[in-house]
Formats: sequence, structure tokens, C-alpha cells
Amino acid sequence: MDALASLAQGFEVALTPTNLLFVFIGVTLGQIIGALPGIGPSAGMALLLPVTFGLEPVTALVMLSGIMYGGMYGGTLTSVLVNVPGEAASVMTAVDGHQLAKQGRAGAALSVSAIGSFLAGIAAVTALVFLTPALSAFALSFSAPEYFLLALLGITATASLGTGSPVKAMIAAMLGLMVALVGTDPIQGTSRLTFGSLELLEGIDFLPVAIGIFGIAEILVSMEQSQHVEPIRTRLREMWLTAKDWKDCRMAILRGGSIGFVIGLMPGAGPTVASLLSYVVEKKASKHPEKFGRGALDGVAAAEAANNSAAHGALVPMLALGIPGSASTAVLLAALVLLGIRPGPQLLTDQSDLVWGLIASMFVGNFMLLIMNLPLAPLFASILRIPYDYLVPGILLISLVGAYATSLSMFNVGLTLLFGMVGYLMIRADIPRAPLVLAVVLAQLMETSLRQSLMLSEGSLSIFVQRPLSALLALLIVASLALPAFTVVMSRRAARRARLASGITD
Amino acid sequence: MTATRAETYSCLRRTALFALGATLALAAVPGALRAQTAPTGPIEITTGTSPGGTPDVLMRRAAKILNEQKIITNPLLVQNRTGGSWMVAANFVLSKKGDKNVVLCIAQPILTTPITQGLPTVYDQLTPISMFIQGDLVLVVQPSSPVKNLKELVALAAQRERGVKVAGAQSGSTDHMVAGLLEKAGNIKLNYVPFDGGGAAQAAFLGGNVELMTLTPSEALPLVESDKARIIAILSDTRRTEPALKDIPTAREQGYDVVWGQSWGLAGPPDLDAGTVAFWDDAIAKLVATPEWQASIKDNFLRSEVVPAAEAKAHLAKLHQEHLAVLRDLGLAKATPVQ
Amino acid sequence: MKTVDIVTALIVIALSSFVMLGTRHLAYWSEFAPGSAFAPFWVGAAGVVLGLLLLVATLRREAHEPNGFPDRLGFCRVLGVAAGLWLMVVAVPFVGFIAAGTAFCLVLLLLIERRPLVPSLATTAVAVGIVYGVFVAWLGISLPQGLLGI
Repeated sequence: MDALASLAQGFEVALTPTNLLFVFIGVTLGQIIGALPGIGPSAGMALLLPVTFGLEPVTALVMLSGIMYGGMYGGTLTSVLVNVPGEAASVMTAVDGHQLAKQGRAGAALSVSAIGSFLAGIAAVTALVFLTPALSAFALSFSAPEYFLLALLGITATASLGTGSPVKAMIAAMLGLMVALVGTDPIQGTSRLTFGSLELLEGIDFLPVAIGIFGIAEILVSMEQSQHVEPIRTRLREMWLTAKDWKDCRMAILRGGSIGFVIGLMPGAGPTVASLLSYVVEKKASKHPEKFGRGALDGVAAAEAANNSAAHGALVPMLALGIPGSASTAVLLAALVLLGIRPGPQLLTDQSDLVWGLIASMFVGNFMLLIMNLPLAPLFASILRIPYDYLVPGILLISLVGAYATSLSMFNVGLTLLFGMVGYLMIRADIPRAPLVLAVVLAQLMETSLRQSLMLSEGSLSIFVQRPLSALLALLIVASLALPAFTVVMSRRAARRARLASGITD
Repeated sequence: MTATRAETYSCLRRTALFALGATLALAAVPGALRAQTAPTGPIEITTGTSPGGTPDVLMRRAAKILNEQKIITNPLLVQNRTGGSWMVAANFVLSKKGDKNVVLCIAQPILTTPITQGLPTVYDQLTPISMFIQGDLVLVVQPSSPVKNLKELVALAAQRERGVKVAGAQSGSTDHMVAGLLEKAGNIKLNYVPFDGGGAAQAAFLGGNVELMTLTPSEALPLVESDKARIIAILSDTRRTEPALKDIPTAREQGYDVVWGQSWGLAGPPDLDAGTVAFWDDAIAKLVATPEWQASIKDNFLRSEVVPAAEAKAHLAKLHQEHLAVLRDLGLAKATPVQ
Repeated sequence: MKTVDIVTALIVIALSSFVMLGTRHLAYWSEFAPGSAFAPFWVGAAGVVLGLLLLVATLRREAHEPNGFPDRLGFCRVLGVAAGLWLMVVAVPFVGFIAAGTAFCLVLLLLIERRPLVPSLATTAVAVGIVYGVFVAWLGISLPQGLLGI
């Protein structure tokens, strides 16, 4: 029970008053930064990096990582309440969470997110305690071919997203892929569809797209009613999670949390991809897939559980190997370097106080976030009691400043507005918006990893089936495509047989 | 989402700097003699990388020490104007002609993006202040690899064209240029696989998917200590003197003239007055002399040899020519602006 | 709705063709792996096919479902907000983010939403206060300043 002894030692570090205070500061800041559109946890951590310069390394680290997973809790708030994703990983929460808020169930959505995030977070840290070395080896067995198949799996699911016709869902996905094509191609370095614009050289940033398509578009639609919109009525007893809700969501949390953790481990995906994929999987696994996109509590639970466990999972390659698994862990690594600690495979042994203190602090921090979020969920939800007309200017202004803050350029603000208009037209043309956003996230991963795979295999496609993990993923894709087709064929055959049978009896 | 290392590279030839490094102690003297005018109000240090990227971290560290040690009393704000592979940041500063309250962090993309994208050069429009941080690079192979030195690597690569796989950051990055220099020096062809940044490339290397990779010493040493990589060469001009690095032979010692590194510094907007340049020159000379700065440089195996304002212009021009040559060899240099 | 779908299909086909044409000069294949034009080609091709599918499906459909577009007044309000937002973005370099944002909030509340004056002023103050307090004062992000320096 080596790990348990180390963990006890870690708790000794984490529970000193100073460290406890800084965990609290970190998670509170994370909660706020996560809720602000545009500024995600990684940018927030980096902006607050100078604050940590005078601190003990472990104190600095527990605070910064507090921002990282605190952001995962905080992002939920703006997604659910005003349909503006507070950070990239809460995009899928915005889809169903805001529908729930419109139905007066914002409190339930926030509670289930908090509980889901907490359970997934605690499970992820526990896995971190016992399995870090083994998991890091697993994380490394993922490379370009696996990423390609993973992204392909995500893209093939887009047709099933949205509530209308699959053709329209696929059109939305294609639009997303086109958006992602803009910019410098990372493999050959040639610029594509940039029209000579410098701002487009690095491609279109994901956040302006998400903020525009979800947040701004939603507000434009709400402006159509010339009558003053009644505030969404939320009675206090509808705020809490019911026993039935919990029964519906517990498996979603388990699935979302596990998928999120595994994807978080991979140093090439991240919390955003994790929450997208777990949402898609949850839709397939759910008893009521038709509710997805119209306010599915289990969809919210899965996506939120996934992004928090992915945020923790990304620490595995960082602590065990010194490789950042996400934008946030990259900042954490930079912080370590600034604090005079060299990250790398030796970190676990050389700096065991630091590493175990950090791990223990995450148990503490997740508890704090649960305590902070659960009782406050109804309070946050009651923001919606303010007449919507008065919320609109604030939401628009903060979203646009958030878009500005992502790169300090007005270009991104304009881009956000542009995608706001596009999103509005999409709503009116009845084209689902989620596939577009999903495609923007997955497109680059898909294209570059395909090309990397073929370069690694010197042009041979066999790389996708020779590696055990990629073979497994390839099988999953074939199954996910073949299964619906198979059921269609079977049901047609059954129908024909029934027709024939009835023909005979006639 | 781009990883941090990719956009952060800059490089230099140590040859020029070696002599200049000796003038480090003297640098403060001419600076102090010239008329200095301190700007009033807060000063922005513009970087083109996202928060947490190497240049960003270095500039935040420098700003912190400059302010804390009261070398510069104006509040220093590091701002990340990302986009266009540093060209958004560069254009922001270029548009601030004569503005005393903004400086640009100089990193490799300031030189390379105009070359690879066929844009007008940037470095010669700016008012150079100083290049004062340098980093070396090492080549690593898999620990199980039969390759023990550069000669064996070249021999292996010569057996089959594009048989040796190299992981690195995006096309046109330092890693890519190192691969290009190696190809030229050894007369070989490598299979360079670009990843979405240094972290992803490192994961591909540790997962055993590629044979070779370029790393900084502070990235490479922990991997070597845990037997996950073997260093075969350092790309500096002469060997490093630190105990951890002194046994690593340079590429040049092994008969291949591959000398490459990274360097960072500051430049002002066009037409910046001489007084403000002198003010910065003096501040940087004082900065590099502080024990705090020296400690963070040493911890990260960087070097801090000051190229003062008087020499920075010629130095940048030289760097530009070197980058242009390498990128041309890689077929990445665009001659004319494209629309 | 039928017209909307036809227009959608045509836009998608146009965009897809544009993507294919705009990347025509790039390499489709290089050495072992697809080149820069590979993905745009297939995305564009798929877009054209999907656009045609939607077009055919729509033209074969008889029903005349009502479309979801708002009435005139509603449409004017949407246009008003959109125009206000764009005007704000254009005004930022001249008057600064804070001033432009304040003006936008007031215009939106008073002219478009026609809310009473006092609550509108209070809302604007709170919204601008949050933006200034959080982004400028706390996170140290310098918002564009106008010619007057605010």
C-alpha cells in the first residue's frame, strides 16, 4: 500500500492552513474564470501565473490546478443559464443545459453537473493515485492513427445529433469542417482559404465560433418577440434534483466520467473532445435519445462528468512524463519550470511531496467545489428571474469582451458576431448547430492525424489495423456504421415478410 | 489549443554571440553614458504566443524582476496578441510608430513567418533593443536505438531514403529547420512528421513511433535520467560547461556543421527615439546581472548573453539570412507576397 | 420553409464549390500522405453532394409548412440588435471598448427594447462595471482605448 502511504503524506501537505487557503482561492477563481466566456481555465491560469511567483511551489501548484478544474465547474453556469459556453469544454452543456433552463430546470441541470463533475473528479483522482505509471504507458500507446479513428468516430456521430433531418445535421458538420480548413495547414505550412488575411493564418479560433453560434444567435432569436419576455419561472422545489433525475443520470455520470478520463489521458485530445464524445456516446446509450438537443439531463451529466475527469486525466501524462495533455496542463508545466522544478519522468520520485500534495489537494478542491456549487445552484439559477431584457446587454457585452480577450484583437470580436448571424440563420433554417461546433473541434485532429499516420507508416493504410488500439477503434467505427444499416435492412425484411404473410392469408 | 513550444522557437548562431557575451559587463556603460529618457506610464510587452508559451513565460519573468528590483518603475504589462503566427503582434507594434510605451518580444516567428508566408520582413522595420536570452538544442534518439552518435544516425538514414522518422512541431518550426540542416550536412533524407506542437511530438517519440527528435536540454535531461531517451549531440557551437551537459558532444565535433538554437529579445516600434532605446539597453543590462534572473536562466539551461542595441540590428539581419537559407533549402521560403 | 431549404442548399453548394476552387492550386498528395488540398477537396465534394440531396428532397416535397421567420416588427428588432453590435465593433477603435459598450447597452435598452430610463442606466452600469472590474482591473487585459484615452 505504497500509494496510500504517499497519499497520507500528500494530505499532510495539502491540509496545512496555507495550502488549504490557496486551494480555496484557486477553485473560486477557477469557478469565476470558467464562467466568463472567452477566458478559459488555461488563459486564466497563465494570466494569474505571476501571482504565484513568491509562493512555495506546492502552494502555487495547488492554486493553479484549482483554477484548472474549478473552471470545469464554472463553465457550466454560463452554458446553462445564458447558452454562452463559459469555456470550450462546456459546449455540449450549452446545447441541452439551456433547453433545461428554458423549461425551468436550470437548478437541476446545475446540480447534476456539480454532482457529476464531483463524482467523476474524485474517481479520476483516485485512479491517478493508484494507476499513474500504468496509465501513462497506456496514454503513450495512443498516437496519430488512434487519434484519427477517434475523430472519425466523433464525426460519424454528427448525423445523429440534432433533432431534424440527418442531411441537415451533416450539412452543419460540413460547414464546421470548412471553417476548420481555414488557416495554415500544419503539415505543409501552406495557407488555405485565408484570403491574404493575417488574422486567419492560424485558423479560426474555436471560442468565437462557439460563443457566436450558441450565445449571440440565441439572443438574436429572443429579440424576435416584441412582447417583453416573461422571466423563466423557477419554483424552488423544481430547483433540486429529484430521485428520478438521479436514477436517470447516474449511469450517464459513470459513462461520461470514464470516457472523459480515458480521453483526458491522451496527450492530443482534451476536455473539449472528451465532453463531445461522451455526449455522443450518451445519446446512443440513452433510453430517450429523442430528448437530446431538447433538454436531456443525462446529456448534461455525461458531458460535465467527462470534462472534469478529462481535466484530471490530463495530469497523468504531465506528472508521469512531463508531457502536457491539454492547454491547461501546458500552463501548469510552464509554472513548474518557473518555480525551478524540472518536469519529467522523475517528478514522481524526486518531488513526491509536491506531486502527492497536488493529488491530495484535488480531493479537497473537488469537495470545496461541490459544497460551493450544490447549495448555490438554485441561487445561480435565480439569475434567470431577472427579466431577460435586462440580461441581454450584459450577456452580449461580456461575451464580446471575452471574445476580445482570447487574442486581444477586434478581429475575433467581429468573427464572433459573424458566427452569431450564421447561428441565427441556422436556427431559422432549422439546421442543428451542435454538429458544426463538433466538426470544428474534431476536424483538425482528424486531418493532421490522418496525414501523420500515413507519414509514420510511409503511406501504408495497414497502420490503422495493425496497432491493437487502432484495430479496436476501427472495429467500433465499422460497427457504429453497420449497426443502424443492419437494423434498417432487418426491419424492412421483417416488414416484407409480414406483407407477404398477410398476402397469403388474404 | 496549440501547444506551447511550437510557436516559441527562435534561434541563433552562437559564433557571433560568443564575442558579444564578453561585452556583457561593459554593456551597461555605454547605455548609462548615452542620454536616457524613461517613458511615463505603463509599458506593454507584446508577445504573439498564448499565455504559458516559452516567450510569454520568459517575458513575464523578466517583467516581474524588472519591476520588483525597481530597475523599471513603470508597470510592465505582458500582453498576448496571438494570431497570424506572431504577425498580429508584430503588426500591432509596427503600427505604433515612435510609441515609447510598447515593445515587442522577438522570437523566431518574427523572422520566419514573413519568409514562409511571403510577407514583407518585419525585423528591419522595428527599432532593435536587445537580444538577451538564448537556448540550445539537443538531438535525442530512442534509448533502445543502435545509434550512439551522429555518424551512426547519418549512416542509418543513408541506408534508405526517408527511412528515419523525426517528430517535431509544425512545418517551418525550429525542429523542422534542424531536420533540414541535418539533411544537408549528412546528405540524407529524413521523414519529418510534424505534430501540433512540442508536447504532441514528444508523446509520439516516447510512444516509440519515431526514431529522432529535437529537444531543449531542460526537456531532454529528465528523459535521459529515466532512460527514455539518449542524447546524441548538442547543436551549440562549443560544449556546454554545466556538469549535466558537459559530456554531450557537439554536432560540429562529430563532423557535421549543424549549429542551431533559439533566442529571444525585445524590439521597439519603428522610429523609437534613442533615449528610450538607451533606457531599455540599460535596464536589460541590469536585469541580466540580477541573481534572480541568473537563477532562472540556470535552472532552465538557458543562456543570457546580451546583444546590446548597438549591435542588435546587424545581429537580427544575420539571423534573418540564416533562417532564409535554411527555409529555402526546405522549400518553405516564399519569394513573393501571395494573396 | 421550402424556399428556405432551397436557399440553404444553394448556399451550401456555392460554399463547397468555393472551398474546392479556392484550394485547387495546392498539392493533393505529397510523398506518403495527403497534401493540403486533400481535405478541402473531399469536404467540398461532400458538401456539394449534401447540398444536392437537400435540394432534391426539398423540390420533391409538396407540403407548404410555414417557416419560422418572425414578423416584421420582430425582424426589425433582430436587425436593430445586429446593426448595433456591428456599429459597436466599428466604433471601438475610435471611442474605446468601454465607451462603445456603454453606448451599445443604452441604445439596446432604451431604443430597441424600450425599457424605462432608470433601470436601463442601472443595468448598463452593472454590465460595464463587471467588464471593467473583471477583465481590466483583475485580469490585466488592456481593452482598446479611444482617442480620448478611456
